[in-house]
Amino acid sequence: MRDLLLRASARFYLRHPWQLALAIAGVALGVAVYVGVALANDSARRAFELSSEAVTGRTTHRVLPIGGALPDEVFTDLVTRLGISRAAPVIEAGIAVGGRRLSLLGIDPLKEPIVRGFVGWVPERASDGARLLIEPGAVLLPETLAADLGVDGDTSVEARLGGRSATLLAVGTVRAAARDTDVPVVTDIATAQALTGRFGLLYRIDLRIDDDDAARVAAALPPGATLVPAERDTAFEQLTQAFQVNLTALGLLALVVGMFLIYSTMAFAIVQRRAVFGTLLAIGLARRDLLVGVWLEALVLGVAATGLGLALGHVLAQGLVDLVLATIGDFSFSSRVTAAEPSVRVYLLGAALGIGATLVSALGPAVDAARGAPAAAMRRAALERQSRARSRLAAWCALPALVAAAVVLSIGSRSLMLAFAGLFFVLVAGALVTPAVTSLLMRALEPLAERGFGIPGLLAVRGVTASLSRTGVATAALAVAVATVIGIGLMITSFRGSLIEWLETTLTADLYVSFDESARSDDDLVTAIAALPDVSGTSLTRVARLPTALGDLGLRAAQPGPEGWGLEIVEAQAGALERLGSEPVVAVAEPLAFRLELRPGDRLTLPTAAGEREFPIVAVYRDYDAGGSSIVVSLAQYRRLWNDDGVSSIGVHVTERSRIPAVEAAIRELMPRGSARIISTDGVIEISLAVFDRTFKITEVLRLLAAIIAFLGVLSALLSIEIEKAREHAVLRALGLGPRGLATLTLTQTTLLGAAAAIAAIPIGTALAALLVYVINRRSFGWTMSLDPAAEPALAGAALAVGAALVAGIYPALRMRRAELGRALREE
Amino acid sequence: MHAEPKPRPQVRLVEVSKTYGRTTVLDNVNFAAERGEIVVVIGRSGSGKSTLLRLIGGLEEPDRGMIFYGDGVDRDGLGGDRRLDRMSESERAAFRRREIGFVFQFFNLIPTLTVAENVALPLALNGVDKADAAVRVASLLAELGLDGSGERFPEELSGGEQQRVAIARAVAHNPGIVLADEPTGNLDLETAERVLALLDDVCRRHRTTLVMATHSPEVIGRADRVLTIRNARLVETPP
Repeated sequence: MRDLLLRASARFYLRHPWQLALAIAGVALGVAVYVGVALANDSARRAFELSSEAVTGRTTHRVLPIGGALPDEVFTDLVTRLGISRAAPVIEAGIAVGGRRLSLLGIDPLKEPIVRGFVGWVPERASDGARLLIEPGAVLLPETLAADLGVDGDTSVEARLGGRSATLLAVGTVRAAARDTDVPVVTDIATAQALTGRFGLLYRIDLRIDDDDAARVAAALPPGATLVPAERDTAFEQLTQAFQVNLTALGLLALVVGMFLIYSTMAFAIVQRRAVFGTLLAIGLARRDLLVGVWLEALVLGVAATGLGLALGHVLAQGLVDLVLATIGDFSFSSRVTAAEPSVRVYLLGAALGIGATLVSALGPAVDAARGAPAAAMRRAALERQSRARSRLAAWCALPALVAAAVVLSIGSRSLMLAFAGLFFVLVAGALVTPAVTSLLMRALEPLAERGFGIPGLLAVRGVTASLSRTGVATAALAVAVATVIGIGLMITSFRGSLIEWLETTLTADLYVSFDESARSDDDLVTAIAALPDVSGTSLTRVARLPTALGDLGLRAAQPGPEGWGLEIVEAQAGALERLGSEPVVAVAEPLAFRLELRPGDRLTLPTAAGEREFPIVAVYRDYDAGGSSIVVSLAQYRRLWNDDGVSSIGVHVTERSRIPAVEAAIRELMPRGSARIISTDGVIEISLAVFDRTFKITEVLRLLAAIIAFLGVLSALLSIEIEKAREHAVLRALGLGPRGLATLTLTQTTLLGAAAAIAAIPIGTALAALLVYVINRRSFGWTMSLDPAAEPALAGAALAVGAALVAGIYPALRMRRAELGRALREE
Repeated sequence: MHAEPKPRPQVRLVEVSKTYGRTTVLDNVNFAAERGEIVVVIGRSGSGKSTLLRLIGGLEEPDRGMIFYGDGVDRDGLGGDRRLDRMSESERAAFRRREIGFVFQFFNLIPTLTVAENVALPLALNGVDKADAAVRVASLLAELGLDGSGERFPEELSGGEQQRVAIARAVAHNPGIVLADEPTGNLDLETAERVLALLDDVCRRHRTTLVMATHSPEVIGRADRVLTIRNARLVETPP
């Protein structure tokens, strides 16, 4: 019997190919988005791991400077006094060769293979390493760069470091040890010191030691140096993970919208065959057999759609991987991972999700088919009455969904997963309430439609409510997709607004002169800049990394200019900024405070040149610099406690805006060419916003995909209505409604559908935005911001809802126009 | 002494043929009906009765032949000045809106409109003022014994009541011709008789031409003329 049922189902879909196509498209697109995002995320993770591995290699521990740099003696002491032979000194700096910016890695060629093991790169010839020791200025160039420059054999190449020019001798090449990793310019440590002008100083020392040796090293290190395990940057890893969770959630959302589509299509395919099922039940088919038959049908569809989705997902991932890497790359690291690699795990998960989603979506329609009384199963009016009753029930069910959201959001105040669960419940509540909203809206519009357009107007309005079994689900799917668009749009607008406000508060100076690590400023330059005409003052900043047990923390030591600290305070003790200027206290960035659960009044232990020291926290300030500095201290205190008198940047305050170019030119006159970068505040804001916009580009793509799936849902519903109402439309045409009139009627109905979805989507989207702004962003990145109730995202969302519905209505309207009148009337 | 002018046919089909796939349903058929005439077309199921009605009503186009609607002005010497078979779909829609009323076997009322709104539908499509339409609808519903049912929806009515609403809708805009396709095919004998009587009465009082396709012999007694479709040909049959 099941065999017969399946054969009948197959023939049904072959006779209704567009239904088959839409059912498959819904799930396939949902699966594709999920798989695409997952593969792109995997690539990002791989890039991150490769980046970390390239730096870490076999290294188990690192000796890092606290604040400035490590003196050579630390290395000598480790090797000679403590007998740590597996220690490799490292210098890193930026270098430009042949117009390309690369990293310069200064190493000990003898120690490197023992400690780090050539993880990121390998020399072309083993003997090249030794030549680095012998030849002055000798370097190994990345293979690709050497090929581009036409370097073959010993060749002199020009390079720029920290604004200085240098001539290097390329004695060989290095290539990436692993695929997709960046390859540095490699040189001997002494050459690197000479090139960077940091004689006798090291960037870090990599060690390959056991725990006992680690304890000995830690105890023997002088003040100003610290031993840390060679682990990844946990803060950055958390940030990346949070970003990936957000993307995955968006991918899953597309799948949920796809589920609406499969539900809608399956429900319609069953409603269309209600007479057949009624007859089958009447002649004695067991309800269980019918249920299983319909579910098997869904399974076959699910398998086909999922297969297609996996293939599409793979293609989509190739496009998404660039966007994901661009975003994460902007945060911190670069890599040469450029393509998404196939992943059995992702494919299996995608397949399980696709087939599972199809089976879950088809459960309701299958139960309906099996439960329907034979007589009632044949009556359309009964079905629509049932749908109206269900829409009312669904609206009431939204209440428990909202309660569940509130519970889930309140029980885990830091859990990102629970936050997404709460968000999901809010979306479910929105979807549940949408059919009832549609019904109420149509009822409210009836008198207006009648007054304005007479009976054709009534026909359009009532047509929407009369097909609630079709339009309800489609409107809900559209509302969820549009709510997502509005929600993310509002969040991005709010975030952008907060970012601009933060940048304007933080960037108090008009121009910033920033120096590379190897090209430090000096006090004379600061004095000379301050003495320039039209300069009203200067502010100084020193940026340093502090290796701590909690991972590397960024420290910003500041000497405020005439406009103060430029901190947007979130929470502070009384007189916090005055104390920050004069006492050894710190202000911590909001993301760090959130991560470590710190508040003003708490204390934070930091390594200083004289050992670890507790610092009272006087304030928590807003900071949207992902992976950037996390702690602010006064420059005077920093110099005293960390023995580092360097300056990373000088903020120049100009008396009048119009004088900024002249001051910039005067500063350039004061400095050797290329020794520092000068950028205006407007320039910083422009770059920051460009990074911001690039970060959210991927959400645009995913939003678009969700909207396409929702569009398909509406198209499916409208095509269903077209079939169901074929005779009704034929009667209207027989009564003299022209083709244009019929098209207008259809498009009016579809516009009303879109309007109903928009009306439901605006409050759902706003709730979503509030959750994203106040809960998800906070838990993901530790950022707080205010929700900007901008009208533009809501209007854009409403336009999308109406536009998608209208476009979806064009094809059915054309089909109705073309429908053979005689045939439609003949088919009873 | 003047001879009484011969009444002009209101509708004329000249050598009309219609084929579906390989089946020729109507083959060189000639047909004419005068204003106020009641013509019954009989024949077996699938003989082409409904097709003939759909051609007359402009719902389908003939494969061959001409369809004329006369309004008393003979411009081309062929009988009328409007060639239905040459009209575009929009023109035919406008023509149907003004000139034709349909009664179907399965009533085909619009389920989302009330009884009154269903009857008012052709008036609305013809741009009749709402107040005037309401008066006309009320009068028709009363005439057909449906007063008090105006606010009910079709699904709340019996089959006979639904067909009476369909008749009211068919004549509401005073069309020249009412085309009824098996109007009693879905009704019991007693109800069918009452519905037929009403249809007959309404059309005669309004001088509306009625072309009715049926295979029920009891309808024949009400006809001015009876035509039979046999082997795709139309044959005059004595009533």
